[in-house]
Amino acid sequence: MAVLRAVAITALLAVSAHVARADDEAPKVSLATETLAQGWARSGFRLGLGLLYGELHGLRGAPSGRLLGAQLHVGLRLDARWSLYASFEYASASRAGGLSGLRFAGTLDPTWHVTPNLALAAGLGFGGIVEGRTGRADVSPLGSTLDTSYTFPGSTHPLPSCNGVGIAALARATYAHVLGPRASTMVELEIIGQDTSCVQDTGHLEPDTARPIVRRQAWSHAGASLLWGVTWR
Amino acid sequence: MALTRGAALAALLVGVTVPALAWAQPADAGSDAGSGSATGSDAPPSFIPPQAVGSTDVAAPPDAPPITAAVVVTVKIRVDKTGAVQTVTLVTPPQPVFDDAVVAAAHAFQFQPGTYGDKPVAVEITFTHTFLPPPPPPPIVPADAGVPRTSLLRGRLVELGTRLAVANATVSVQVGGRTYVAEGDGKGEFRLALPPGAATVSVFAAAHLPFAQAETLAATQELAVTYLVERDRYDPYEIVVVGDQRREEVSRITLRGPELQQVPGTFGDPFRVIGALPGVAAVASLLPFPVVRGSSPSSTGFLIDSIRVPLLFHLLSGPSVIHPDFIDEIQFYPGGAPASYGGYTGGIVDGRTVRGDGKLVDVDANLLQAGGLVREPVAAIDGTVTAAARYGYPKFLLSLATNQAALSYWDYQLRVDGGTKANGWTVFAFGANDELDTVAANADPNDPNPPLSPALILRFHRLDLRYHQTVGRLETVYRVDGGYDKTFSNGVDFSVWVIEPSIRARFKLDDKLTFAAGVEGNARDLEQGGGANAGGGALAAITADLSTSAMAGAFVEALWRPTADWLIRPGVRADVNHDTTATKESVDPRLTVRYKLGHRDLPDVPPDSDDSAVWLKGSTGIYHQPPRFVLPLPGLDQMPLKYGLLRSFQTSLGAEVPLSKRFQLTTEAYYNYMDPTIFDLSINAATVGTAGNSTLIPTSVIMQQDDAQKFIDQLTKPQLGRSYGLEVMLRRQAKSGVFGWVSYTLSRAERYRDGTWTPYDFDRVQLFNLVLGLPLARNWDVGVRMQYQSGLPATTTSGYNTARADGYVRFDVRFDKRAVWRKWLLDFYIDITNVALLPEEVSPGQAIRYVLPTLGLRGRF
Repeated sequence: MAVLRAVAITALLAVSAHVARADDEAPKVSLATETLAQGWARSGFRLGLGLLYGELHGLRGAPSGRLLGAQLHVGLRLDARWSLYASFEYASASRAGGLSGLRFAGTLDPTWHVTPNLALAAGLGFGGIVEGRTGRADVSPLGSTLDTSYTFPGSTHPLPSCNGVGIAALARATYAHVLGPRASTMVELEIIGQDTSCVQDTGHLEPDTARPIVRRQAWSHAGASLLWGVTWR
Repeated sequence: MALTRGAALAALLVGVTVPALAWAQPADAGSDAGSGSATGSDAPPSFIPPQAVGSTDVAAPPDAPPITAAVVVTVKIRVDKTGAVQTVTLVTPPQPVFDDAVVAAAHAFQFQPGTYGDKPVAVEITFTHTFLPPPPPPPIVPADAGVPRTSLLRGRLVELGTRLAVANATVSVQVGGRTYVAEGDGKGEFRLALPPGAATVSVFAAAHLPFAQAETLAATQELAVTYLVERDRYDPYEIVVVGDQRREEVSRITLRGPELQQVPGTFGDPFRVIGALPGVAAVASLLPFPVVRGSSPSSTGFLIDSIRVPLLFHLLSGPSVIHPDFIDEIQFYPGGAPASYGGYTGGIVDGRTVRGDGKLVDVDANLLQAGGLVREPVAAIDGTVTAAARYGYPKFLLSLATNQAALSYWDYQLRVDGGTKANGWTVFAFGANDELDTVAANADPNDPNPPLSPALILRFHRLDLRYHQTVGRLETVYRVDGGYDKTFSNGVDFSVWVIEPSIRARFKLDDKLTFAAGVEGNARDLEQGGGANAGGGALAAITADLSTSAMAGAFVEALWRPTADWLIRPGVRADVNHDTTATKESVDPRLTVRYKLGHRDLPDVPPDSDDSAVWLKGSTGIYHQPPRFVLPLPGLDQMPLKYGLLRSFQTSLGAEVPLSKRFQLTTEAYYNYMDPTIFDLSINAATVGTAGNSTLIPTSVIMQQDDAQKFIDQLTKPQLGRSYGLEVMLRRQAKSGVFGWVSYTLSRAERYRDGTWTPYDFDRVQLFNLVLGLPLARNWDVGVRMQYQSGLPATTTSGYNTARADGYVRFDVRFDKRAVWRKWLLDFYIDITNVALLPEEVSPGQAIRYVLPTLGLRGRF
């Protein structure tokens, strides 16, 4: 064995002494060790950022508005077929005489990857509305309830300002196009529904308890939005 | 049968467990953490890592599944002073069968012990073993067989992004259906004789991703290549010293690494993390004015290397004025601070800077600011120069909403270190400027774009000069810092020149007894500008007396370990404060005690170390401070001494219990008595309106408006205060992997008012924090933070602070991604504060919902 090793070393030295030198000093990164599709189907963390444009339509008298905002997806690609994402949406909701504020939502979205490019998701979570001053007319409760908090039975005459949160649900179809090993771009169509427990601060307190006197009203919305974004892995 | 490769024993020293290496416990008794001076010897001793005796190879486990790709297992091995393996801790994600094989083999390794200054020391090293898949047919060609190998492939393996050498890698090359293998050396270099032809090169290295490349070799050609191999994870925060830190404090919480810059909701700002610790209530969740154990925010000191920072946060609530990379660790004392800390009756937050090593260029930008940091070693001074600066441009965002106001800020830091760790010097200059512009007083009211003029300027500059010297067992730090502070606003125009000299020394008599002492002082010259008091506000009546002031103080303390189970730390400090209104003296005796109840046998902690001990701990002491303005403003912090000194009596009793997997459970009960407290931050009115027809009163006028004299009386009237509570914290502080903590505080903070103890305006009975940081594959880091603070007291018709507002819950998230390029690293992060827009009742009846997203990029070269 020692003889073989000595022969090998001698041969190697001999080769080294006589070969032509061709330095290739430009540093090289690795060639792809897997296809892009394989990489994106592999389990791991994903984060997506997108811009959305849509419409939130008020039901049973609740005000409507156009949505324009941003969305954040974070979650895990579980395997080639399934992912579990959490989505957060923050969008301005505005329309003359309608909504004037921020619509936000956070949902947990199990996602089925029908093909490497197409995915379908359904999500459930919270959604809310934060409004400042709006152009909507005020609606007063009965005089006898002015010094206590009051809950309106319906939303036919919506509160002039809503700050509240409730339940939100969505269904989403995503078409993704892989840009490279790190990023892909996507287009999404989302159908959303939301029930919001609105609270309007009257600016008054109950002096015996220091609790605010508020008005409450339930709003329901349905809507849709189109989103474009980029996902990183 | 899988092919096993000889182990890459390594070389990464991460911890030395010698008490003499005092850099693990810097500066508490007066040494200088920033300069790293406390080495405890005349010259820097040399360190020799442990050497393996015998083979460190690991056989593939017989019950292992077929290996189709390289399986890399990395463990931390703790080698004691005798060379025996004490603990083996898994670092890489679980791969059960392979982990077991490596851990079992590592326990059987033998070493020659590592030495530091010729003395054997306990050392922690990183060991990695790679299980390679079986070679494909045909088998590896012996050197003397097969096709003549007339070509040579030689090269260097370099880490992508960092350009560090990739040591001890395996290079496998396929040419003409045959496989040839070479081992890289410690410098990442390899040579492999090959037959000519198309070659497929694969590289396997511990803690690196597989590398593949294609080459073509001509006959008799020597081809030199450089391969950039990507690490499996680029951890931005590699905590260097974690091993066996000796306990010297009772209540201190030390934050390091990702705990400083990756906690969600802090925007990566180390000082904001304090708000997530036990015992810290918030005035409002976004405002960084902590109410520590029931004390007013102005009673808690924010320090950099033990010197006061005039303005810690831009615009009072924005980013901190020091680039995060300067902060190596934060030491937080909610109470029981040692005698070296004077001038505060609440908590202490001490940001410790450190002398950096190596070149670094760091550039960052987000929606609010852009900045950079450059560090460069300078051989001529045997030192390092570090410079950083940031510029904040909230005015660009603000301009989208209004042309009536503009907001901007900047800061700078320059640090030069020279000499050695034992004997060296530091020059540290830093400063900041905030400016708010509003419509000028002489502007045309009809002007659609009115001119703006400064309405608020907050500015300071500091120059800190230090020299640290080690002679035998005596370490001394000589220090002078000085600077200029300025606050300008309507009716307020203060400028202060300040100089603060100090000398601190630490003498280690033997292993059982160390003495620390120091003398320090300051002189302040305050000028009130022409615009001061123009408004004639209530504050002017207080500040009219301010001019020059001075302070002189001294402290001495001992760290005494009479036996291995006891640590007794008595100390005393004396201070004299003087200004044109009064002279006030104070003496503060303090005592902290630790008693080791026993040791827990934990697999990943060395036995008989402080880390494995169950501690009972207690502290008691007196603390004084001069009166300070309710909020920290440059030049407007210290109020006239005629109002008296604030004083608190602090006591605490608690326990520390180490748990497995680097978890630790800490609990502490405390009682603080404040006699007196002055300039308390207070917002609640004494009574509410009770007129006959006022059952429905607009919130804005429900509180009676105090007139100027009442305002002054409220601020300057000495009050009695007390706070007591119980803090519990379960924390994981590991060198890698998941970090975080869960903490709960049940407490009361009260003031004595009208003959009875009533809740303090910022008394929050329950505080809960959850912080979790999770590193993931492909250089992702995910952080989650949840905070609950119960509601603030509110005044009702029944009396002062007889009701409570709603508490608040906040969820914050943070996502960090590190992308690796050939020569640099790009960090991308998203930090969302209050991701669910949960409401917060900031005052009775006024609830707000907000969300604060931050998007940033950071390049490191």
